Amino acid sequence: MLTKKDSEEKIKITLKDYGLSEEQMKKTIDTLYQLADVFFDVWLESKSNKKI
Amino acid sequence: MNAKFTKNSIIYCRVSTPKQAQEGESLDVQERICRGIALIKESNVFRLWAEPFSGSDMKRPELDVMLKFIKNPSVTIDYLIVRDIDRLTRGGAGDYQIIKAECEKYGVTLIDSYGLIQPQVNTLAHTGFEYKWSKFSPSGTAETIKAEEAKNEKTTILTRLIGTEILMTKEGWHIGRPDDGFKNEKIVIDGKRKPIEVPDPERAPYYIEMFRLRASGKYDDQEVVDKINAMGFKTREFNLWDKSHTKIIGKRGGIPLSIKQLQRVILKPIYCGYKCEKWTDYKPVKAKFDGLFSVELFNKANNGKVFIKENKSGNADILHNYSANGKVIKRRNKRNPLFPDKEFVLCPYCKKEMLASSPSGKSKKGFPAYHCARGHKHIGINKKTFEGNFENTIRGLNFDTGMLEALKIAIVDTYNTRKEQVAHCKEKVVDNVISIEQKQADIFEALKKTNSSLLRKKFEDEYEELEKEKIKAEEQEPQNGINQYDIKNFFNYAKYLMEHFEELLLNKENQPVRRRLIPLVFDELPTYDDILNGTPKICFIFGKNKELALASSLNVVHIRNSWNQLIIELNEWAVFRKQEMCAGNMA
Repeated sequence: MLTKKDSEEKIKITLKDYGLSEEQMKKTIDTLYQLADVFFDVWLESKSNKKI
Repeated sequence: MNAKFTKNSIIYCRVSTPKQAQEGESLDVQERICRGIALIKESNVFRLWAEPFSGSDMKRPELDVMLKFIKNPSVTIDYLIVRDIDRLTRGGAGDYQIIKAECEKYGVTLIDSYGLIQPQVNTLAHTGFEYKWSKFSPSGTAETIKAEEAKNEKTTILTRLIGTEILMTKEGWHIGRPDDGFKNEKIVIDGKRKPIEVPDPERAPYYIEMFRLRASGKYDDQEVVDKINAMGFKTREFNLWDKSHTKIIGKRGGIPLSIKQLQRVILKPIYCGYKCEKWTDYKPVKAKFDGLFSVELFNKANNGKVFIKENKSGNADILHNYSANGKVIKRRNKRNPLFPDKEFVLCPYCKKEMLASSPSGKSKKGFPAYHCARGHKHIGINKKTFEGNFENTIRGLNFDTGMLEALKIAIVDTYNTRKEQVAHCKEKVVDNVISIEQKQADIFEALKKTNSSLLRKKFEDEYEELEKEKIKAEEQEPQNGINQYDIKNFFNYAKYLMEHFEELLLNKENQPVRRRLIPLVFDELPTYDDILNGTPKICFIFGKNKELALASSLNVVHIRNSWNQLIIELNEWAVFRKQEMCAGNMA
């Protein structure tokens, strides 16, 4: 299984064309992960027939 | 009782602490010795008083009863037998003389098992006369010295014991009852046994989860409490003792976690490996053992309420109401459901969160508005206008479709990480539900066997209480857990959320999700002027895509197409895996 570090490297390759600085890249990856985390929670709650 | 004996004696035994009552020279041992003395004195033991109580205190439950009994005995009492003078009192010669005088007044002779106390003699016995002054106790001086020694002994013992304990606590060792989530253990260092705390495998997971959930910032305290209780958390049980501390009369604790208790637990630095208590002068001391988790997690869970600042020198400071910019945090109720956008838009003058209220006019009708006047001119915006403008900003956002590939990778990664956490949590909840059901089955069996209406009522109440607990726990259980096929469901759901991202941001019913998403959308939270001028600093992932903004439906189509492609890939992967497994089985 891929580790988080591997996934981050893959994301960096995907976003190569954006020409982001190191700091911007770090922030973007962080935002994407946070977004995925929220989606997971919302999905989990919808699975338990709760909110949303 | 021996019928041949004509004399009667009473016995008094004492230990300082309940622990001593079970170990050391216990009450039983003292009683046995005193009964032996009674036998030597050819007397029946009429009554016995025993208590675990401090000897320096003259007001003791059993001693009081005994002294009252001596005044009005039902039979003549000849002797009061004690193991030693220090069992009778550690209050010094003064207290001892009071007790002794009381006994003498009612004709009771005091006897100790060491034979130090001697009977009184009449110095004029050879003349056949007796005066008050001629009655003399040959051991009087020795008794006084012994009573004083008993008093000093207490000081010596406690100085040695407590002094060492204080020094050890200052060094970071653990003294006393273990904190919940830990158990006490001894380790040998330089040939000396030192007390430490180690994680209790049964209870530590609850505390780790408590801090983890608080630190995630996704749940309010009530939600954290519900989740922990669903895992089966119950507070520790303690025995309740009778007045003399010799008999257990009940139990306390064993109840679910409450918000108040959660808030107390969260403040305890011992869980991240720092001791901070009276004996450390309320200063943090690095414990000689590991905490349950890192200081970072502790600080995050406390959100500035208590902050441990570790210095390079290895010391640490505890700061209260700490914020990174050095300002004292003012805590306000941010969660008024009437003003859901209050926390996302800042005042254009002071750049602080807007305030909001509903002042009532002459008609007594409320006029809800967002406002601010903190050291600058008053700004007030009608709730409807304010929220309408903010909604327009949100509606103008578009997820950059070029980011979809990257988001997909993050989603797969998050799914794999979170799946394990959920499985662990579910396991705990299921165990708890099974244990509740077992208890219910036991009660049901007991209910079938009993005819007493009183007991039936009690059992029914208990059963109902457990049923409520079970429902609460089941509510917290992630339904059916997560299985191997769920990744597809999750992807479909994530696709749906991306297509309806706007709705997610505008759904005021689900404020916790908005609270997590909106700060992601903006690089920094916009002021109301930014909203009006259309110049908020939007994170470039959500930057306005001019072409797609004109046709947002096109954006949705793009997202859908891209996602559909991924799902096709996933299906192909699943088929491939299945074929691979079949081939493996065949082999």
